[in-house]
Parts: sequence; structure tokens; C-alpha cells
Amino acid sequence: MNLISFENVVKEFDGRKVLDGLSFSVEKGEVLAIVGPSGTGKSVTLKHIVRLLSPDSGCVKVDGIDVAECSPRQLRAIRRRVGYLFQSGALLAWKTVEENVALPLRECECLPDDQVDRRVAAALAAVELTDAAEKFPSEISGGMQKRAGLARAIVRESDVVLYDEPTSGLDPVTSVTINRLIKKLNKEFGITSVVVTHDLQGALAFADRILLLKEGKAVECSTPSEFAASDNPDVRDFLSAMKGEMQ
Amino acid sequence: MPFIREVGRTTRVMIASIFSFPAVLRSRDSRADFAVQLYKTGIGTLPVVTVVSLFTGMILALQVGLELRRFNQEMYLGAAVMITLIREMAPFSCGMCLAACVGSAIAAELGTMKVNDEIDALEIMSISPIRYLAVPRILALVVMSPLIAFFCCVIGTLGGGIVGSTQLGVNFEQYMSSAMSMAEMKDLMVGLLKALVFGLVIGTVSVAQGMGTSLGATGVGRATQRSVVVSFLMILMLGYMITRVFYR
Repeated sequence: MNLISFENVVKEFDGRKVLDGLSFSVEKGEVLAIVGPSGTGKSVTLKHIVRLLSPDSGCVKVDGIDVAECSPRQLRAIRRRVGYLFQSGALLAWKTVEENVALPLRECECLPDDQVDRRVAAALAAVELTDAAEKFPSEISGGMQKRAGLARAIVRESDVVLYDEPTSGLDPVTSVTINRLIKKLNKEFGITSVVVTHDLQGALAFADRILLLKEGKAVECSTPSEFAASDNPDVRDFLSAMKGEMQ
Repeated sequence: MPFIREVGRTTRVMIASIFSFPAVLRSRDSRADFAVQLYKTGIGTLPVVTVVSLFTGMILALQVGLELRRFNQEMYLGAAVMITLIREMAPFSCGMCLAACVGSAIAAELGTMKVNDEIDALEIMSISPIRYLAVPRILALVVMSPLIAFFCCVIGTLGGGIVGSTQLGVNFEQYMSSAMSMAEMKDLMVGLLKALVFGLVIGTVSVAQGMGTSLGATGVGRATQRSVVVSFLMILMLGYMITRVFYR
């Protein structure tokens, strides 16, 4: 069952087509990794799912609802279901990790304090960050900031999490930790995940399917093993470029 | 067209913020942030405001006093300084200080949050950035601006009195008596109204510039600069318009 679908989406910035008739879908409970060279519209794609951007033409649907056309109430309901991990973590600098994670619960859910505390503790435990609860974002490492951002993304018991470059700027060990977390959250909580990444090795390990974008179009969408064995010239070029980069 | 777009965006921020004012009191986080912003706006700017208003009063007294002395009318020095301060200079210098100290800080803070995706993160969590970030800052400026303007007026008048008594030979009691006798309640009310409007405009312009930031660190710098420049221009233009409405 398709939870998220892009149908012929076109998006232009200053006359330049960033998404050019992009179509793909994400099934409930799967992990889809979106890969591709820089500037091919990967992050722009993610932003359409929560209406941070709207398409110039085509449509983006979440659970059958057109995100660009839906009412504010429907948009709130969609955003309520979707957690978003930004590249930078996007934590509020003046709040501790615990307060950042509690923010959506305190501001939107009107839950009693003990319930908020319980859910925050569970989210922090899920991303293995319990020890840093009292620290401010400036006092923790980049990897920990991303994990804190991930805890905030899942604290509302979201069933979809969008990851924008979750491992960029991290060392290989921390990248593996983050990739492991993505898979763990998918397995344990059934969270549907869309992961924009440059980390092809990670994507091959944790994704159910890999989508390759090129010039705003989907040129391949297949399982990791099919992707690695694909004879699509764009995939071969991308794989050889990534292999060259790693060497 | 970019100018009209900017005006439209700033107006939208102002209207949305005014409608969200009551929401600040409902959220614990917003109440706490509002208190912090009151402190930053009021107490944080006090040293600068004190120096600016003291010297404004002293300069006014010196310039006006020298002219009055040519006509042997020094006894009206207090009235001249007080009326100038209460009607124009106190709200004006208060507005300039707030735009430079508080407005620029708001634009830089929100601009940095924008380029770090923190504002987008709030939107995705269905937390209105206007309610959560803009309103506590704008409301703090609206509340504190008239109080600071009043403070400017008091300090400026004292500064004028010091210059009058030490350099122009005007007795301090005579100076204060002249100042108090000529000032009217209307002058005070119009002065405070000006300060309130300036507070609202500085807050709105700074928030709109900050939240409209793009292009990374360069964009933050540009937003900060524009918030100060636009606030200064608005203070001058609105100051004239309010004066024109109340003093025909």
C-alpha cells in the first residue's frame, strides 16, 4: 500500500527545473533511500512531503491526500504523522536536548508532564542518548545532535520519518550508528522512512529500495541487490563515481 | 516588485502576530520566552538608553539654552527641553536604541535559525513560528518601548537640568518648575503612543527580515542590516505622521 506518492512533480527555482516530472511511491513500513549527485533535488523532494515546498505541477500524496491542496487541518494531521530529521539536527540552541525533544509534545499535544517525561525518556532511549538529556546542543557532538533531532522526530510516535542527509559530516563509525538506528526504528516501530543520503554503502545496507535521482527525474528505483547489479548506465556511472570517491 | 513583496510579508507578520498575542499567555514556553524578551529589551538596553537620553537632553539644553540666553529667556529652558523630549526626542531616541540593540539582535537570531532549518523544524512540528518566536519578541518591544521612552524623557530632562544649572546659570528648581508647568498630558500620551508604534514596527520589521533570510551567513548579515535601516526609516516617517495627526 502506497503511503507516499509523487506523481509527475515539477519544481522550478529561478527558471531552473530542480524536479522534472518526478514520480515514485513509498510503501507503508519500507525504508526508501534517495541517492544521486548534489543538486538533483533530493532535499527538495523531501520538503514537498510536508509542504515546506509545493510543486509547480503534479501532485504529492500522503495516504491519498494531496499535500499541496489539503486544508490546514489536514496538513497538521499529516505533519503530526511525519517526523523530519534535518541535516543540521535543527535543535533550538537555548533548550537542552530533553527540552528540544519534549517541544512538540508540550506545544501541540497538551499532555500532562509525567506523560511527556515518559515519552521523552523513551525517545531518548531509542536513540541511545539518555545520558545527554540535560546538555545543550552546543555541548554535544554532531552525531549526538542528529540523534537528538531523530528523538524529536519520533517522540510524537510518528509513523513516517524523513531523513535529510542523516550521516553528512559524520565520521564512519557515527554514520554506521545512525544507519543502524534508521533500520532499528523501522524494524521495532514499523516506521516508514525516506532517507536522502550520499552514503551509498549505508543505503545498500539499510534500505529496502534505492531511488536514484538525476536531473530531477527518477532513473532507477530498485532493491539494493538489484541496484548494485543494475545495467542502467546512470546507475553504473553513479556506482563507479561513488566507488572512485571511496577509494 | 521585491519592495511590494517585502511590504506584504511584513504586513502579514504584523497581522498574524497581533492575532497571536493572547496565545503567548496560554503556553508555558511562550510565557517564559516573553519574560526573557522583556528582560533583554528593557534591562538589556538600559545602559545604552541612559547614555543616549542623558546626552540628548544635555545637547538640547545647551543648544536651546544658548539661543534663549540671547533673548534673556533662560527661564523657559526646562519647558523647551521637556516638550522637545516628551513629544519627539524621547520616543525617537528610544526607537533608535531599540532598533539598533534589540531589532538587529532579533533579525540576526531568527535569520540564523532560518538558515539552520530551525524555523522549518517548528513548522513541521505544527508549532507556529509566529506564535512561538515572533510574538514574544514583538510583544516585549510593544510593552517595553513606551516605558523606555518615559525613562528617556526623565533622564533627558535631568541631563538638560544639569547643563542648565552648571553652564547656563539656570537654577535647577526653576528649570524643573518650567519643565513641569508647560508639559501637558496630551504630549505625554502622544509621545508614549509613538514609542508603542515604534516598538511594534521595530519588532515586526526585525522578525520579518529574520524569518525571510536566505543565502546563509551573508543573508543573516543582510537581514540584520536591513532590519536596522528599515526600522530607522519607519521611525522617522511614522514619527512625522503621528505628529501631523495630533498637532495640526
